[in-house]
Amino acid sequence: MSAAIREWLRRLRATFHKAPEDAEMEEELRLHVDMIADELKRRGLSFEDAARQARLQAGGIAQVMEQRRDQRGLRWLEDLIQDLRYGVRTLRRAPVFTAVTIATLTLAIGANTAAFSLVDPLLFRDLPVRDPGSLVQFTWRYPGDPPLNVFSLDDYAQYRDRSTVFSDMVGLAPLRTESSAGREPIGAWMVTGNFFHALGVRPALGRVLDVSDDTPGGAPMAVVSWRYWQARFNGEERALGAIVEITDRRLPGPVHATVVGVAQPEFSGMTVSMRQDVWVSLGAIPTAMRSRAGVGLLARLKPGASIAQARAEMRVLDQSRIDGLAQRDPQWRHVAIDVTSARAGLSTPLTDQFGGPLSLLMAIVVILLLLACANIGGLLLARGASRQQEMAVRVSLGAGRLRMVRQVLTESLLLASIGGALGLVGARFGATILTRIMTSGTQSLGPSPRLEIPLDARVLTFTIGVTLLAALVFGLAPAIAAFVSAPASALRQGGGAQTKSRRVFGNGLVVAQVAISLALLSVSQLYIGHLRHLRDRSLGFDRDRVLLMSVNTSRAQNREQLAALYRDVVARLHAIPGVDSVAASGMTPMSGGAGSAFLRVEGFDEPAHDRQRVSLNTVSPNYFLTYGTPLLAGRDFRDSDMDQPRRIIVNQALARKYFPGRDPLGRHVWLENQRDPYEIVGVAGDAKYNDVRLPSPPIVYQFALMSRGSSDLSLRTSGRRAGLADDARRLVDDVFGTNSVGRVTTLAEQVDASIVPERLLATLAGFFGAVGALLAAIGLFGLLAYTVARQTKEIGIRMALGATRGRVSRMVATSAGWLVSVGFLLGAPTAFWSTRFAARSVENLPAGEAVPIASAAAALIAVAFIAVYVPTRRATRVEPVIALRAE
Amino acid sequence: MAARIEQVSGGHVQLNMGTLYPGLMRLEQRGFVRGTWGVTESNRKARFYALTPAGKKQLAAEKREWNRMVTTMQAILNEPS
Repeated sequence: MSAAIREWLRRLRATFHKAPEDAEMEEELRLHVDMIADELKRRGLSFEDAARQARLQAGGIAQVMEQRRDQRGLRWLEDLIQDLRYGVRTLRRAPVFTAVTIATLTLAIGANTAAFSLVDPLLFRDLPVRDPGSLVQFTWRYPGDPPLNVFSLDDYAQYRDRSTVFSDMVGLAPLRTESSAGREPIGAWMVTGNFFHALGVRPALGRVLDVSDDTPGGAPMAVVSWRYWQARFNGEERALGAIVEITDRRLPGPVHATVVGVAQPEFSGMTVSMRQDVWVSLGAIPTAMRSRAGVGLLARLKPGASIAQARAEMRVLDQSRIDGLAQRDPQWRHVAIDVTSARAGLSTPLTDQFGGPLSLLMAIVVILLLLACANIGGLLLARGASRQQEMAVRVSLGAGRLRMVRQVLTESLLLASIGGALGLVGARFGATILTRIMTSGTQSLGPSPRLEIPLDARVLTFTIGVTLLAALVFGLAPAIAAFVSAPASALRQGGGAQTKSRRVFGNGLVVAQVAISLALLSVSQLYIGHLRHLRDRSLGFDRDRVLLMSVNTSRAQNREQLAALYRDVVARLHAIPGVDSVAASGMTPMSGGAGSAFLRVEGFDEPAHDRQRVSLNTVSPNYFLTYGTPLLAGRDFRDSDMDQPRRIIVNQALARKYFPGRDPLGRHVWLENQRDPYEIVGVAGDAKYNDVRLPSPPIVYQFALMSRGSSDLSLRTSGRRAGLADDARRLVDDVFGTNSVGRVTTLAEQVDASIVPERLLATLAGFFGAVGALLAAIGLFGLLAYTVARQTKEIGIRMALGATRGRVSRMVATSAGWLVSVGFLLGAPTAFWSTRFAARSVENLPAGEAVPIASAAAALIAVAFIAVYVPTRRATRVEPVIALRAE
Repeated sequence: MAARIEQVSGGHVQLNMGTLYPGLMRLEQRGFVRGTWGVTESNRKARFYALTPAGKKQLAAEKREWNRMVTTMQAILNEPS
């Protein structure tokens, strides 16, 4: 073995140091022949005969040299280096072609890498725990709400003890930690004691939690993540026994948990997109609060049990919970527990929101890659045709066909590798920007979302794979062309005509590009249209120029004090130049906070099984003015309503539902669990509440100058004045106490943040759609330019025989027209199908519309015209005399 | 060397340069022989190849293997059928 390696190493070295040994070798051979000749001479042959005989006996020096050269170095490596050198030279001779190709590949491979590096950890990568494939999670979904994985500890105990299909069931819940002075907030999770054992996660130091840590009233124990151990304790053993302090607003006081172990390095929790530093035992929850604590559930299927079985069993077990809840709220009848795989981790708002869009994005970039390959393949083929003569010469000089194919493929690989390397760099930036967009919209519940995009082996493998595949795909056609090149005919024809099969193939590539980019553009038009629709769809308020501030109002002891503070702050805010109106409210649209209650109305009998809650908000006077929501009937709240608090304003949707054909003004309604009625004093226009995608729900606006605890202030401003927000913040802090202002944002930002997935898709699909159209245009342009170049002689003859410039340009344009038409013919059904598919993966997206496809086609035609114009012009500029003389 | 092999084998094995030199080269690359430039008795420059210690060991091993093979083959072929 070692001998074989030694041989290989020497050959490798010899590959790079060549010249002196070759000369030595040749001398040795010559001496060998001389020796034979001497020997023969001694036997009496004449000098000439001896020399002849010796050469015959020894064999040809040149052949032996060649053989020895093969043995001396590594032949394939030498060939590869030679091909690469040649390839670099060839590419440098055509700088524009090379630049366009590499830019295309960089974009395509970069986009794929960026998308993959996001999609993989979020959706596909298995968690680093024992047998992740058998892990499942439970979710349920209240109508109109996102899916939730929240159950009470009692539910957990019941399911765990009564289910038969699971070998383990664990409960876990994120704690809402706050940053204590000078420290980042800790990503802390409360977990049941069997968490680590069920997952098969071992301690790197100390021990992991176990069931004995669950004892009610027991001291809270903690296991820290490897990363946190390194960051906070420098990876030292003294971490064991240290105290980690966790502050959660919902708990009466800070939790002091004792660190008993460090989890193995690979394990960083059950969710990909949330920071996880510490896992604490159930002891963290005071016994009194246990009945109210909610946990997410995760279970491991017994060997052989299927998800369908688990789902069926859990629906039975969960029925009593649903029945209990449905007695108060019949909407619960529509809720059924679902069991889904958790092999890639528990779903989070991030995976729920972006799972669909990211998969679509992945599909889009894969299509883009195909398009890029078709494009480059076409360009290479056209170039290869003009290199036919060069190939023919080389074949005539003895180059093997496979050797030619190898050389062509090496050139493709060279292009793809440069594109891949640049793409990898670009993907790092792209992915960072993508994560920033993705996390910009999520309201943080629990640990702050943290999405890390590692440049790891999987991403690298993916990129290399994509690069090789791309090189193969776009290099295939030129390689085949090189293989079948017939030297004699190519040389004779002087590169004049092209073979029919090659022409058909080249045309086919352009048709495919037109078709694919039509589909791509249609999908992007669909998303852009949808986003525009969401933005324009009457929100019911004017989203521009409204400043939002969340204010901690706990300084006020009672209602009267709060009212005084409110009046003070409103008056002073009004004094700031540029502030037109000010209002306070319990929540602001699209903020994520919400309240709801059942409503009882005299003379309106709601069927018991279909009772639905109405949405609630508490607002101050001028709220509707500030938001630009019209008051359709009645009046706005007044300061004096302070004394008569049981008056409400409702929106149109509520009036339509509960008072069809009647005047709601002056009528009385009852809110759930309240004895005294409210009187309706006004009807406001419909406005979006918490989801731009849904129509406005029925809303009850109650009166409050400001709400206790915390409240939102909204300021309508005129013009954009820098520093206005800072002025307002200082002023509010002045009134309510230092640091009482929390989040400051604008209404427009808040609305946009609620539709990040749509914006992400529209932006990226739009970008890639445009790139796709550009590629198709380049492909069309390349093919036509090439065709015109090859037909120069033909055009010259035609013009010499009296064809007008108009006729010639018609001839060129007609062939282009055919290509584009066939592309559209094939592309239209593809586009129809892809838009339908794309629409299905995004919620509330109208499908089956022709508008996106039509606008995409229009855009493509415009681009095609430009691509056709230049080659056509060049064709008409052909001077017959010059064209014919070129022969 | 070619002549010597031809002589020893009784003319059955004839090596021309195309066979001899790549073989020698492979042996040299594997570190079993080492070639040095020298001068022959007839005062002519030539390259001399000698076995290295590793080469000797390898030769012994190959011989053993070959003998084993021959013995085995003989045993099989001489088996009365």
